[in-house]
Amino acid sequence: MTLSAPATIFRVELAILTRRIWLQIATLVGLLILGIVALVAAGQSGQHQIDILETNSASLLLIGGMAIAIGLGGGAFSRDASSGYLGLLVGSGMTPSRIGAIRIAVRLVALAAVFVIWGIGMQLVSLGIGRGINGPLIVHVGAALENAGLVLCASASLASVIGPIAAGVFGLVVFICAQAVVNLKADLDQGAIDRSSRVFIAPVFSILPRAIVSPMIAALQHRKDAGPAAPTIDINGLTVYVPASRPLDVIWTLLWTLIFAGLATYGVRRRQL
Amino acid sequence: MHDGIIVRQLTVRYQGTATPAITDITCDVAPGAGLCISGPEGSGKTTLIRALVGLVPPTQGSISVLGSSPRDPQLRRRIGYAPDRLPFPRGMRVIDALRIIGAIRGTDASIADTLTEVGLQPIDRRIIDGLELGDIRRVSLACAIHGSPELLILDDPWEYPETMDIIERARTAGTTIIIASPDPGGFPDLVGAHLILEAGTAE
Repeated sequence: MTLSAPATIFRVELAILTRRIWLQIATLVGLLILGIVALVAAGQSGQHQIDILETNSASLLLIGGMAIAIGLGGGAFSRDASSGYLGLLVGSGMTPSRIGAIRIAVRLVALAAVFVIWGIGMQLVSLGIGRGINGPLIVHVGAALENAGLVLCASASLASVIGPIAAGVFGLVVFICAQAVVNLKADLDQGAIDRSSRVFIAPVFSILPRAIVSPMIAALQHRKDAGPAAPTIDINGLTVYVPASRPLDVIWTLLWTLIFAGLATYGVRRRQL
Repeated sequence: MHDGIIVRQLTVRYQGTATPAITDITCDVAPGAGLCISGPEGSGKTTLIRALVGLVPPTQGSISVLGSSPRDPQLRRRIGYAPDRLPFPRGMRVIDALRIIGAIRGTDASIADTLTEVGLQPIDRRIIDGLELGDIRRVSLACAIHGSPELLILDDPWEYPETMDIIERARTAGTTIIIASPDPGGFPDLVGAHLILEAGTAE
């Protein structure tokens, strides 16, 4: 069967990504970390055992997932545009916007594949320590994937006009802003900052993308055991707990991810190939 | 008017540059005819080629390729284009480069036959960036000729015996051919016409 041009490019570029050494190493390092988590958790018991698995898994997804998202998004276009590969595809009959859309989709699928591999590893650890399937962790993998997808697309949105490192930094800044607005909203709602600040916080919360907080992270915060993935916020002696995201937050951030993906596609159209 | 290549007073200036890369170029290539564009580095050969395949828009003037605008993707599927650079991403296999080009052009042509024609193995699963430079250029040439396009545009091809044979066969088959080369060698005799560029203008 002959595949269509977009399907063929998608398949080939996905295969190329799976051959990237840095991506293979990052995936394996994540699994290695989960192996160490399993060893540590095996020596514990009770709620603390589950917390070890969940906090360390969340840290891996945050730090490792962001690093991979930045690498995939920041490197989406610049090298292959400079090398003439994108020009070859356009010169052979593809449209730049289609190429842009395919490359974003390939990278999102690769990112999702890494999260699925790590997610399976986390569940195997959970089964291995006798805790069965960890449902909250499954939900958290999805939340972390949405955050990482936002970073990937934000990085890619600038990857056609600036270098991969600068584009990656932009993606990271977008996530920091997304987390900041969520934290500020929680500060405001829980009375940790003055009510008069609402005029500033409400608009930015309404407009900017929002970092997705899973119910698992919210629960870990209350147990004071969230690790770097969700540290509790102390302001003026008050401890602020960031609540789990609502469905509207999930949709809003997905919309922003689509906007960044659209900007990336537009950037390829504008770029000299 | 004809369905070959018609370039009229073409000027191309890249964004952010003050001086045009090519200025006031006019040339005609009839269907089935050929043209070798030569000139020193920076003379505008590659810019003219890129304008012909729709990668850079004209700043002034007009281009008609096979009766259409080069910005039309449908037209570009009828063009076999080999850029001057080595345009393959790291980790791509030879066979996959041909699969992609074949799918874009919508051709069922045999990849094995195309690879054999340029002197590569018929089923070549090697990673392109691990190949010698000469073989990478053969892959680029294979991408250009795959599916027997109506127009062949080769930017700085190497004068391999296979290259010369391919050009000769394409001419016999009625393919329009454009070649750009800093060192034209035997190409002008092979394709029939010669345009010399100097600092972005035709001599």
